[in-house]
Amino acid sequence: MTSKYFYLALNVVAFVIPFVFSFHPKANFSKKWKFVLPAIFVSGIFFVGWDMLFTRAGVWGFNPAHLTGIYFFNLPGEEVLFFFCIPYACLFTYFALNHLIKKDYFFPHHELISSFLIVVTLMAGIYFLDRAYTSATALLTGFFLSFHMIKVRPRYMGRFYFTYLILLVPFLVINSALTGAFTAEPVVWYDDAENCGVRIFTIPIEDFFYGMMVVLIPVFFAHELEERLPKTKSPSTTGLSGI
Amino acid sequence: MVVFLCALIAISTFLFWEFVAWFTHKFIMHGILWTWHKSHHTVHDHILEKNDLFALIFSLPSIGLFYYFSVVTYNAYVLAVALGIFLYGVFYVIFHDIIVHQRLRWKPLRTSKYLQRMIHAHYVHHSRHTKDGCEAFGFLFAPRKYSPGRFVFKKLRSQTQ
Repeated sequence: MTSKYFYLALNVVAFVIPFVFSFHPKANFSKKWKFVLPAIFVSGIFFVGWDMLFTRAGVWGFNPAHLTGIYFFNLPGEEVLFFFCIPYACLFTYFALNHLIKKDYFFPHHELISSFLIVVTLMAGIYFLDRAYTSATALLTGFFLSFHMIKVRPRYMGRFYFTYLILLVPFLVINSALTGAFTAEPVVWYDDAENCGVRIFTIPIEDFFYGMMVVLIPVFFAHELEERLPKTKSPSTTGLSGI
Repeated sequence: MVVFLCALIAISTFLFWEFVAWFTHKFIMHGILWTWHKSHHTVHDHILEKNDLFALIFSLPSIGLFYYFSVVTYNAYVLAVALGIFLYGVFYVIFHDIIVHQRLRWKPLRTSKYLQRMIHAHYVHHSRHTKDGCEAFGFLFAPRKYSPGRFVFKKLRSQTQ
């Protein structure tokens, strides 16, 4: 299965269903766009910038066989699209799950989960300081989760972890596809000297934390915006987290 | 360079120990070891509490590291870790046992806003004497929501328990 539209197709597939259901009258995600789209944009710029640096440094790279050939500086257009399509789909899932499932299963345990993740990621980040992908991802995760736990202290961590668990299903599909589970050569290759070498199927373990940040950063900004922007009329609609 | 790194390690350890203390307090002391910690949520006039065993346990890593990495072998970085834990212990005793619980009758002449917030948070923690349902488990870190409007020190030691 070699097609120059492969990576583009993955983006489209991930984006299109959430987009169509964004206008569902019962849970209208498009009404949240004024918080969600700027949040995705800000975090998108951050991840594109990071991606450019790591692509230039050869931490990872892209296989032209699966690409349309349109480039944005040193990044394939599909890779740039990824940081807007995937967070959109993830934030839609977060919104939809909050709408569908009212019970906040993980709230009583969110500090325990965060504590565990913070200790593990900060220790891994320091231990693998000479491996760019491992240390950058682990330290970002550790510090951003600490920032949430100490400073932001949000009500949504339980719901976020619940969503993340559900999102692992599409994550495994898309990331397996990107790392070459279904193709002769991967779409994205990783220099194993810059990661810790542990893979789940074909996926480097760092991707699980990277993916968590791809979701949590826009979730954080969207909630911040929703709280800070002056409230417009129609208080009947529920918040981003459905509470 | 070594001095700088050691200072960094000591400070990080200090901060990390606040996390360890918070974590243990929330999930272990108010969990399976409530049998020890209960004595600290009881009004009494004894000099010691069963809960003081925790302080003893928390000092063991520091004592052990100081001993092993100075007498048996030498490693400045590990000694910095031991120093960080030790400094946390000193701050903990001054803040928690003396200033908050008045186990020695001393209090600072002036208190900063942040110190007031920490003290207040811990009094909020002690407003309930149960295993479950307490809040504010931290010691040297307290979120802004615990800032008191006007802070007053308790007069009697029994009021601080």
